[in-house]
Amino acid sequence: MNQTKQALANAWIGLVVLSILSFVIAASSGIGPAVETVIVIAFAAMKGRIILLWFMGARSFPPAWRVFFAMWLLVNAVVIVGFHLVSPA
Amino acid sequence: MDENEARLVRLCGWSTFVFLALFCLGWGVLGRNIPPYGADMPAADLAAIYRQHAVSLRVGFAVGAASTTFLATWAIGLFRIMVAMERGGSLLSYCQLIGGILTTMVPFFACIFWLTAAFRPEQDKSIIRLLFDMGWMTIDIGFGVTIVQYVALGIVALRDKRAKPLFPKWLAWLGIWIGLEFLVELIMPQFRSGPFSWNGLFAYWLPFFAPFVWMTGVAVFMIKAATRLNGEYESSPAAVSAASAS
Amino acid sequence: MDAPIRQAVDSADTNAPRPPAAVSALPGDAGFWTFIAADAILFALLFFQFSLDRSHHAQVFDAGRGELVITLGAVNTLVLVTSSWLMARGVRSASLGDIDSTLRWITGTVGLGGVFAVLKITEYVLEIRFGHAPSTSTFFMYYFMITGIHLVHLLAGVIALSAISLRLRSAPNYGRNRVFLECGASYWHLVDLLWMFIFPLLYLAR
Repeated sequence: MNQTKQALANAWIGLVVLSILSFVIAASSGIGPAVETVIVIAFAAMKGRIILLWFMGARSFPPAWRVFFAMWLLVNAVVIVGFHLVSPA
Repeated sequence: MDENEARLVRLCGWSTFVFLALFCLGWGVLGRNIPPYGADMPAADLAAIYRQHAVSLRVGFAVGAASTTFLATWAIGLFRIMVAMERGGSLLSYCQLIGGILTTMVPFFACIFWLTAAFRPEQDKSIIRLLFDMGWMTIDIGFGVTIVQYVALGIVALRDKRAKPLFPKWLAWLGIWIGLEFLVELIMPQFRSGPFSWNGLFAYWLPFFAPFVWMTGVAVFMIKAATRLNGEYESSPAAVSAASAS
Repeated sequence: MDAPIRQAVDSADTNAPRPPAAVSALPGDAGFWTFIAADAILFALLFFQFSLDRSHHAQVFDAGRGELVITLGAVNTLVLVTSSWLMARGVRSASLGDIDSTLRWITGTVGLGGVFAVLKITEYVLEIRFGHAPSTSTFFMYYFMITGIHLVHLLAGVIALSAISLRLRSAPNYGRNRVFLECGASYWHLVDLLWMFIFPLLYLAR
């Protein structure tokens, strides 16, 4: 499945924006550690999804593979956030 | 390959399971390696274990050492199949064979070191620990020849042009991946604890059990491949004319 | 594989639009995705192990995190997502028959991969100069190991894409090279995908 130039550019913009936002949120002192962790990891999963869907063509993957990668994103996010929340620095 | 050879190759395939069973029973269970004692275990504790369980450790490591014979038979059977698969000579088939035979010696010598420690466990605990460490260094750092074996098999399997390849491509790629993953063992010697030390997730659980599962798959497809290659031979012009001449 | 045949560009071949994708298909060689999945699982295990160990030593980990040069990590994130975008453009060009553009896109991808590597090594040198080695603390063990294993994957990707680029250069035949290109691209996107988690996990999360 071929993406349009615009779709790919939009995906790139999304990735850049989410990355910069993550950096800014982490650098700002106003946000508590738990909230910050949830946000940056959620953004990581969102960026992962953008890469999977728009760059890797996950939309046309066989269902088992779509599930595998969706689970991969979800499990990573939940595991990371879970362990971080139970033991704040 | 004719019927006699196919039968022998199938036996080689079955021998993979013999290796896995004997090695897991001997080295794994009797040798007290599932999970292994860590590099940070005090020498006194390690020596105590070797003294207390000397008999089962000796049996386990002797069986473990001997079981590596069936790693060789596995590699030899694979060799014969690969020669039939490989186009443009047999170099990669030889790489698998030599890599596989040399791999046989890695767990073999490791078991010998551990066996030696269990042979005379009343000796100085530092010597027990030295032999224990040597066993782990051997079994973990001997992976180079195994990478050659797995990657050679992977390449030949991937280049199989049959409509239904003798080995599925995913199995070939999995073998290549597992072989490359062994490279993580290069950092194992830096750690006495943690996930990269010899009893850790990345230096033990993954590099030992992933290959065992993969080998099972390879054995299954080897056994089928022998039958298929026999079938290909039986319907080939050479075989048909030989049969009609007799 | 047969040696690339030197011939005039077969216009019927390279200029033909790529046939519509199968209804449900993985790009490149389906078997290669086992390799990708295995790598994905390996890193998921690394993330799990890191998070688990961190939960026992949260102060040490956070202190270590504070010593990282977060800006370099952030720049590298932008470098890598851009390289992934260039790669996607390269695959698209190839499927539209424009191999020349593909070669340029791949050069860009590989170039940015090189930039990532240089920045990462610079980061390592800085950390070691500040007195932080893999043996300094559990956090720094994970920092060097996780980013190091990722860097090895990235360098392997750079080598693979360079080889694919050479292949395309010597025989600009999309049909013959489609599988290699798609596998290489998928692998590169995986390298990017992994970094999407590695960066916040090591540098940002508290």
